[in-house]
Amino acid sequence: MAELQEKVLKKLMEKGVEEAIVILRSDKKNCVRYANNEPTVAFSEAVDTLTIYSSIMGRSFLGSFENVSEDFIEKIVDEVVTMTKNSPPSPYYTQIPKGPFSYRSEKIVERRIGRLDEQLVSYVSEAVKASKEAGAERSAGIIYADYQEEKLVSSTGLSLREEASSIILNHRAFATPEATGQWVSCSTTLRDFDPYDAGRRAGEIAKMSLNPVPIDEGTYDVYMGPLIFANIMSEVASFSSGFLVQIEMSFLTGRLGEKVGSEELTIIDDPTMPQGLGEKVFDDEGIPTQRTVIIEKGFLKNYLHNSRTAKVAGVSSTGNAGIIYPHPWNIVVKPGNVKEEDMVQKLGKGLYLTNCWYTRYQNYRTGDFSTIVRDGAFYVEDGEVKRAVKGCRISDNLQRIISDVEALSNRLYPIKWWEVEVPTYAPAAIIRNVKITRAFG
Amino acid sequence: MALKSMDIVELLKKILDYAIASGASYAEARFHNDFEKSITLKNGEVEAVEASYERGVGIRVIVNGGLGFASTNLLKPETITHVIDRAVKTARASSSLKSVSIKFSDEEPYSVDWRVFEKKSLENWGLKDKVDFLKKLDSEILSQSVNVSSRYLTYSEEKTERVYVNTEGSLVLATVPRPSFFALITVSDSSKGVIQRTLQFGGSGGLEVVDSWRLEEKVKEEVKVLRKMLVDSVMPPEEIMDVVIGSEVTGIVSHEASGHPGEADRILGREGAQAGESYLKPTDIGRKIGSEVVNLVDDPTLPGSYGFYLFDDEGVKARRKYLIKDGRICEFLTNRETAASLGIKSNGSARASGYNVEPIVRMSNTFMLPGEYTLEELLNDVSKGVYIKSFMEWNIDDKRWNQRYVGLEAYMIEDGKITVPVRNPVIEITTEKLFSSIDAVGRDLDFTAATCGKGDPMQGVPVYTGGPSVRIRRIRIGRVE
Repeated sequence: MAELQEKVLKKLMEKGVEEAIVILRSDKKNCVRYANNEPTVAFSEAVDTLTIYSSIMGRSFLGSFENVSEDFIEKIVDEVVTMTKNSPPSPYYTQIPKGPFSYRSEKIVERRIGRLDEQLVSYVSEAVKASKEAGAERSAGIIYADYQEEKLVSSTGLSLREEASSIILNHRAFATPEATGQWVSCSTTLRDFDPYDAGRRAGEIAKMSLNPVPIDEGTYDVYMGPLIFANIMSEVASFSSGFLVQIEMSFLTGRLGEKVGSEELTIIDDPTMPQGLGEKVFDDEGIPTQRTVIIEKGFLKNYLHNSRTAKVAGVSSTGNAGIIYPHPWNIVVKPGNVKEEDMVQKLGKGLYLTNCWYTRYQNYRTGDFSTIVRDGAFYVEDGEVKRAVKGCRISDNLQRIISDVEALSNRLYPIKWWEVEVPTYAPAAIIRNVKITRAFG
Repeated sequence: MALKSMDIVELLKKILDYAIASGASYAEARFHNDFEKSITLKNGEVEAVEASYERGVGIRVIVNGGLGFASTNLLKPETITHVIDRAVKTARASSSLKSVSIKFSDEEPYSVDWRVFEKKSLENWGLKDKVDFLKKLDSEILSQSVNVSSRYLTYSEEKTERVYVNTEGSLVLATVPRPSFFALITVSDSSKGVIQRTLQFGGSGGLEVVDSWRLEEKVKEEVKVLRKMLVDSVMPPEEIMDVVIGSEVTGIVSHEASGHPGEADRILGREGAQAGESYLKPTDIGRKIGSEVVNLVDDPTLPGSYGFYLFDDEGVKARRKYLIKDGRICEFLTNRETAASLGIKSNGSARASGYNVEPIVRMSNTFMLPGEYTLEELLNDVSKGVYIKSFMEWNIDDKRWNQRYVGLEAYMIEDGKITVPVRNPVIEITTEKLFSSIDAVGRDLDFTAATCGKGDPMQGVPVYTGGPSVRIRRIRIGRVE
C-alpha cells in the first residue's frame, strides 16, 4: 500500500505538476520544564508535517501542511497546484536534483529516547540534586527527548527515509539571583547523556560567581568557555548560508577564499559525524549531505548551498537544503591542543566568560554586534581567577573576534540550547582584545 | 476551518472528558487552524512563494497539582488519547517533586466568538497583485539614486482561527487575520562602507492595514536616510548629554525594560533557564522606577494593532494594564497560574503562538503613554545632545536591567536644533537610570510591529512596541568604533 507521501506525489504529478519533492516528517517529543527546583510543566507532542515543493514551467511553490489526514490530501494537492501555477517564474528556479546518489547507510538511532516520559522527571531530579551539592540554591531548566522520522520522495525517483533522536538538557543553577551558572548535556544516546554532570558543572559555576563586582569597560583578553564559544561559532557558521550571503545579511559576503579568521580556527559543517547531534543523511532536496569545511585555518573556504543558491553562485549544492534557505546541520570547531585546566593560566590576565545571550547586530554585513555576558564571568590575573564580575557585554565585531582567536582547548563539547539552535561541537577558546562595555547608571 | 466549529467543539469537549477521566482535576483544550502565506523578493526577483498550514489541538491538564501539556495534529482518537496519557503520566510524576501544587486563579467563564474583520479582503488581493506590489517597492528603493547593494523584501499574511474550551465552562472562538511586511536594505558606498536597515510592519485586519503603512513612501525615505547616515554622518561625542529618542526607540525601551520584567512568570522564576528572570520582585508593586512623567501600558485591545486580542488563550477577557504609573510599578502581566501564585486575578496576558505550545505570559502592544510636548518643544530645551530616531542593534540582560540601543538615524542637537547626522550613537544604561532621567514626553505616539520571542519551546508572537518621542536628561552616549 502506498504511503501518504507517495500518494501525494502521485496526485501532484497527475494534476500537471512537473517536478515535486514531498517530505513527511513525524515528530514525537516529550519534555519537562522546571524552575525553583521543581517541575513546572510536562509536554508531550506528536506532530506530522507534510512539506511539498513543486514546480511547473519554472514557477515554484513551497508549502508546509499539518493536516495530513487521507481525506485532506485532495485539498492539499489542489492548493499546491493552484499556488504553483499562479506563482511567477523566478530566475532562482533550478531543476530538482535527479541523482542517482549514494547515501551513507550506517546511521544509528536510539529509538527508545522517543519513548521516555516519567524518566525525564528523574533526570531533572539528578540535575537539581547535583547543583545543590555543588552549592547552588535553586535550578531551572528544560529536558527534551525527541524522535523524528522523515520520508522523502521526489518526481526524480528519490525515495528516502531517515530517523533521528536526541536528548537535551539545559540546566541553570542559581547560588544567589546574581550568581548563576549554566551547562548542558546533549546526546543522541542515553549512554552519553549525563544530567548529573550538567547540574554539577552549572552549580560549580554558580558558586564561583558569588559576590560579583562590576568591571571597567575596555579591551580584554578573554577565555571563552565552550558554551559561549559555541554560541559565537554557531553565529559564524550560520552566516555561511548562501542565502544570507546573497542578501548581504552576512559578514562573510564577498570574502570567499580570503583570510577571515585566525589560523587557529577551522569550522566545519559535518552532518556525517556518527551519532552527532545534527547527523543527517540527506537534505530537503534529497541530496546526500557532506562534510563541508567553512573556514580552514582562518581562510573562508565554502559557503553552504542548496541548489537555488548554488545556481546563483555558479557552484554545486553542498547538501544543506532548506529548499529556500540553506543552513548548517552540525557545526564542528576543530579543537586545539591546550588542556582545559591550563586555559586560565594561558590567558594570564583578562576575563573568563562562561556564557552569553541575546546577540544582536548593528550591521550584518560588517559583523558589528553585541551580546550579553551571562552566568559565570570572572576576572583573571597572574593566571588565576581573582573574582566574579557582572554586568558586562561584548560589544565588538564578529570578524575581529574570530581573527583574534589565539588558542583552543583540546576537548569538544556537544552544545544545543535556546541560544545555540544548530548543534555545535565547540572547545574553549582564548581570544585577544575583546571589547567589553557596561551600562551607565 | 477544515472542520465545522461545532464538530471541533464536540471534539474538544470529548478531550476534556477523557482528561478528567484520566485523573486531571482541570483540563482545557485549544484547537488552532492557522495559515500563513508569504512572498519573498531577493534583489528584485521572486525567490519564493510559500505557505504553511498548522492545525492541531493543545491540551493542558492539572494532575495531582502537576501541570501537563499535550499537543498533536493527528486528530485520531488513539493519537489524542496517547499524548494525553503521556502528559498526564509525566505531570503526575512531576507532582511528586512539587512542594506547592499548581493552581489557576478563579476567572469568569465566557462563551464568546470574537473576530477581526477585513474591511478590504486580503483574499481578493491576488498573488500577482502582491508580487507586483513588492516589485513596485523594490523599484522605488532603487529609484533614489542611492547605491542599494541588496534588497530582501517579504510580504506575509496569516490568519489564526482558534477554539478554546475548559472544564469550567469557557468557550471562546477567535479569528484574526494579520498581514505583515519585512525588509532588509543594504546601502553601500565605495569609501564609507555599508549600512543596513531592517523594517517590519504588521497589523490585524485586511488590505486596509497594508494601505495604512504607506510603504512606497517609507522605503524611499529610508533609503535616502541610509545614504545620509552612511555618507554624511560624523562620530558622536562620547560624553554625558541630553538625548531625545524617537517613537521607535521609546517602543523598544518600553518592551524590553518594562514589559518583559513585568511578566509575572519571569518574576516568579519560571523562565529562569532561558528568557531569564526580572529585576522586579513580587513585592515591588509601587516601587519607584522612573520619573513621574513615565506612564507605560500594555494594551491588547488597540484596534488594528499587531498584538490585538479580546480574550487571551486561557479565555480571560483582555484589558489595558498599567505597567508603570507616574513612575511607579503598577501591575504585572499575569496568566492564571501566576495570578494564583500572587493571590490576584489574571489580567488576560496568556498567549500561545500555536496549538502545540502552552499559553504563557506575554506582552501585546506595549507602549509609553504620550505627554504634552511637540518634538520641537522637546528639542528646544537641549543645548547639546543627540536625537536618536531609529535603531538597529539592541539587547538587554536577562533581569532586564542592563540594556543597549545603537542608533541608526541620529543627529546632533545643538541649541535646540537638529544639526549634523551622527553615526551609531550608543545608549548603554540601567533601567532605573533610563526611566528616571526622562523629564518630558512627547505627544507624537506611534507604533512599530515586532515579533517577540520567549519560552522554550520558543514562541514568537506579534506585538506592537510604541510610544512618543521622549527627552532623557544627562545620560552617557557612546560610540561603535
